[in-house]
Amino acid sequence: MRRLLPLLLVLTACDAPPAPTPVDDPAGWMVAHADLYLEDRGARRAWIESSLWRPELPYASKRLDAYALPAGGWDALPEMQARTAAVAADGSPMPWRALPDDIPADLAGWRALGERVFHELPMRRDAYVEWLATRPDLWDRAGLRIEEGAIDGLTRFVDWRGDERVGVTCALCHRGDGVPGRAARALDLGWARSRYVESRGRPPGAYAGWGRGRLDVTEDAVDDPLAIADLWTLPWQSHINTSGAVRLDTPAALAIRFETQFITGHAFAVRPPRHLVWALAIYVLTLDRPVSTAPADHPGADVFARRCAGCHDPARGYAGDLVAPDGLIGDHGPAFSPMRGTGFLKVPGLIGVGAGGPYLHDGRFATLTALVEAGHPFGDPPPADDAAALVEFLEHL
Amino acid sequence: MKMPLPLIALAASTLFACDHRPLPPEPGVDGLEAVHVSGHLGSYRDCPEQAWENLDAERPNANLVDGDCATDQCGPLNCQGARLTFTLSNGSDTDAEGIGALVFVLDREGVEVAELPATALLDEDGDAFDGRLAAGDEVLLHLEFVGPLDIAALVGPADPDGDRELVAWRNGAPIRLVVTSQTHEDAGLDTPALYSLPEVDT
Repeated sequence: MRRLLPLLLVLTACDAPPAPTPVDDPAGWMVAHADLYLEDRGARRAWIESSLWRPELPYASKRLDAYALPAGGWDALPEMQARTAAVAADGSPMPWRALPDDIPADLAGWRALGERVFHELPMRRDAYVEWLATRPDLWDRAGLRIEEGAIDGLTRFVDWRGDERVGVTCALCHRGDGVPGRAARALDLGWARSRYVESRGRPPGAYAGWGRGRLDVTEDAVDDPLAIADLWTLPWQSHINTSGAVRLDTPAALAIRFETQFITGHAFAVRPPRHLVWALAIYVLTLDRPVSTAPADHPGADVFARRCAGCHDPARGYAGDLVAPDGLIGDHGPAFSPMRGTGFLKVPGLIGVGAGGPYLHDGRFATLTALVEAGHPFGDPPPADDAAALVEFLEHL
Repeated sequence: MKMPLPLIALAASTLFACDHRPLPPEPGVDGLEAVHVSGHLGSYRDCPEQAWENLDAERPNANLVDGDCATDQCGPLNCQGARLTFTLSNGSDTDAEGIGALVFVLDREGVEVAELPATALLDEDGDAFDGRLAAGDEVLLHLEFVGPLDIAALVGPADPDGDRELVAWRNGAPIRLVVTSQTHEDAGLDTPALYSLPEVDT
């Protein structure tokens, strides 16, 4: 059976839609195409139509009905004032800071701006997070990090009505242990939400069971929390979202994803300044990544080549294209979500995978050992020696 | 002069159509014109007493503000009224006054199935709109209204077989906006399907 695994994987992948040809230098491409994104509505429309390859899905149709239309739609929304302040741990007021209006001239400038956006732009507003920000007794249990006297990943901003609110930045979920791009695996927002619900006299619901490092981010009436993803392999990924609902046929798809994510996260009332989300996309595509410390002749490398490389391509940060979920262990629900389900699952990258679980798209395995011993992907575990070698190899990626 | 049959049919259908309010009102090239920008049907899961289905004279407060709660029964994220954002332009050479708005929910065939009460008409900054629009001007307006708790009950029955497209449809429906004025003819638009505000949708 083990010898048949690569063949099975290839056959499974054959059901998947053709993957786009990746852009060789995504960040360079973005610098070269910035003007088009900022000034040409038609170009943005073409990009979103190309990236939402399953237009009939509600996730896609909501965006296609509203984004970059010839008239009206989300393009006519007012821009949010990009003026924010850190959320001080002691509750004291922090100085307001404005993200610049100037368009960067080169890659270094775009990347520097994107780094600020990653930390300062409120991508969404949630009432329970605002409540959590006022409850320091809960921060440690919820997995919030305090850095330089402020709560990492939260920011104050002024909403469209002129009211001061607390929003969530990219850093909350994607700066684990203070490392940009690393999933915040200690974060337990489900627990925080359940506490908020309880504070309102209601039962905690399903949130309490999500656990650290997992979030349900799909509005599909199904409780399907997913593991927060590392961002390091974005340059090589053909799709994003667990079901691959967004195709990264150009890097512009990533910026549009951020732009529309912001609009939905702010209840369709404002849109972000576009140069900020373009900068954000450049930043996450150029994040400093962990470097593998596994020697080339590590015995686990051979096991990986035999068992894993058919999907997790070492030349692509160990990422891959979409695969049909038939036979895969784990919850297939995200592949068939009423809102985003494409019928497939994305093969994630593995750079930095040794930093800790939860593992698999649904975060069902706490450790790499548990994942390997469960026989991912098809429930066929390797011999014990191979399993140990493979786990050690993965821990060094 | 003989009139070709298709033209006769068109003229007849136009005459019949004049017995009813245009659906939606024709864009006012020389008058008011509304263009859809964005919108949602609100979130009433944690405050069902605020939703359209439970609308009555005793209802405490229909005008919910983003993320705030009008009662102590708010849930994890949202008790939020529905909102439609649109641009309104005045292409005529006279100022428009007494501008107001009506909202209807449409079923899958585009038929009005309910009027949803408007609660506030706000300008771009969230201040109350004064109802005036000078000749040649354009404004961005936010119309807040009472949304439904369960849009599926309005636009059609739940799909018994669980067909994914119908399940997905359950949370969405188009909205018809009719802009009224004391000085100009009505303007209006039909939106694409609007949905309840998601709790989380990244």
